[in-house]
Amino acid sequence: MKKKNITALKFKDKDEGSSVLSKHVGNEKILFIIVFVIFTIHSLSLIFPAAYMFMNSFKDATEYFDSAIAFPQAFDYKNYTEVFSSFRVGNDTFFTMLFNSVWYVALTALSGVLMPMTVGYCLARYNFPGKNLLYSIVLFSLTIPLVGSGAAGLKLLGALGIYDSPLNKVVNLMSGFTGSFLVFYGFFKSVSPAYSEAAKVDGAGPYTIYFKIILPQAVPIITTYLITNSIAAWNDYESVLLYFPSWNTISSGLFSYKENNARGDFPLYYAGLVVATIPALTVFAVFSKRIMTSLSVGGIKG
Amino acid sequence: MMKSETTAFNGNIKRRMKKYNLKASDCVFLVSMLILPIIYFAVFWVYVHIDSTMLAFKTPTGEYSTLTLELAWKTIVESGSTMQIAMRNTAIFFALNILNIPFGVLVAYFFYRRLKGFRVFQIIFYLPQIISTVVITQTFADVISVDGPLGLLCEYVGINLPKQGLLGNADTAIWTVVFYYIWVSWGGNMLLLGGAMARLPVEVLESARIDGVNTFQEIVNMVFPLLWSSISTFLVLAMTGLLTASGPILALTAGAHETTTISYWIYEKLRGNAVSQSNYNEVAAVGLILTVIYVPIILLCRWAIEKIPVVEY
Repeated sequence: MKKKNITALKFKDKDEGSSVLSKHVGNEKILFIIVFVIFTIHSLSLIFPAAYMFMNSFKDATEYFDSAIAFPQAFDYKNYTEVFSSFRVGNDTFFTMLFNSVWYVALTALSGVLMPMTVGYCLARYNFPGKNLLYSIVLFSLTIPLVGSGAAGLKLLGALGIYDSPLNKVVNLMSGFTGSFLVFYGFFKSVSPAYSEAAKVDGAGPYTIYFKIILPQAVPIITTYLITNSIAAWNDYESVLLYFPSWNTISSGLFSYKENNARGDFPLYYAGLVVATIPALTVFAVFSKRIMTSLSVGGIKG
Repeated sequence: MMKSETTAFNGNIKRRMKKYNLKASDCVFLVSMLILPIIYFAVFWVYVHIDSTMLAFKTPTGEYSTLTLELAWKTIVESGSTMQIAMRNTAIFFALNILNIPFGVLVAYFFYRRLKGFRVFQIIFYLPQIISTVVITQTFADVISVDGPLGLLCEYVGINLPKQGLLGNADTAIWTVVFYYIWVSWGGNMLLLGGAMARLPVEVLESARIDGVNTFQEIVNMVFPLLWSSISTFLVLAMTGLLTASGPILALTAGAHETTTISYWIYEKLRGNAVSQSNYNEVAAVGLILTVIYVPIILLCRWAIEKIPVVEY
């Protein structure tokens, strides 16, 4: 029974009402009601932007300027068809921006996982000369704030001829000493060595052990990182404007549209924002459970 | 002679491999897996930081001089300068990042204690990470504008908003951005802290409950100490982000009306200047000075954080 109570609060057991911690009595009941009300108000305030954007995407410019908070008089899809047919930022059509978003998201998401995972595994599971030095350098680079190097970074990208080029993102795939390295390092440290030892006895080499024994165990955390990195990259506009100014993604394009058309067609802009939000929301809706639980398990244990 | 040298070298390598329990196949694996990230790190971190330091000691025409550093120092210490405003605002956002941590613990605590509807709250609080900042800032700006719902409400109760709007006025702009930042980052750490909370030893909390511990005592005397290892990691990460702490300045105000931060100031100087590279030396010089000032402070704070013992369970 005691065991049941313990797991109940670890979000695993259906019998979660049996723990004293999940019971709220006396003054605590009042506290929980107050907190519930505050959280509800905050939740409504967070849902409001999505509803506001959605409502205004169906209006025409006049109706929007008359009242931005009123419901649309009719649910006219004109703005949505226009987003796909005539919405332009500079010379880029919506489909050009969509294409740019796809490669930008794919490469950004991969670069946050591919090498950090490999470096994490090597440092967590192998003992080799210079390992401690390498680990210390990585930790130093991750935890000591050095500012102002952006200028030298851009200068280098220019010198290498990969500034404002997708090649920059391809080169970025080599990057292994990023924040996610710490999470992968912690994860591989926690994986029992029994699996790899058994495989070794059976004659498996280091590549087989890594790709066939270890990586499959890391699939949940890899998937979570890929999903969260993808969502962040899809919504990123600041880095795109700085490093890829000629390659408008949907997010940077919409931002530039607003920046250059302060009095532009806002309902059309909102329709564009709704379209831009749909992929991120869909991915989140499909994988929300995995994001919540995997992040909970992986966390910041580094 | 050559043969004996080669034999000695091979023997040395073999001894070292034995010491580290490495086979030849392990060495090939390690080299093939680590070579690319190490090259990348050497070029894009080590070289870039060395070059950044060199840039700080050069004039825009490429001559070595301390002039750029002297001018940067002047910009930093000059009273009322943009850099001073940026430093003040960065400090505000840094403080918010720090305050967000205990606040995140509280939010995670109520979810852990099965607040009604906590699963729905969990998803909604995560929405600002899903919906683009462009969307949320645009809506926020519309809502608080003079013609928007807030403006109409204020007019109704007899309060006058500044004519230029809350974001268009130096007295109110930064605090409006701060409000926005608190609003969207409320549940930011909630997920990761929730994960740490799920690993708490429930039997310890339960027995304390049975002994009559109330909610306040439970949070202050049990949850915070038990979570200290996670909280301290967050604190260290927040310290690391001290100089880069910033709200969504570009989308809300583009740094106007005294809302700029250090990281936005740097961003603004770099954006669109990749061809002319006109501001690169100034950015590198300011960055170098601020790094020299702040790194010892951060190291001291980290040392103090690490002095607090972590509860093992």
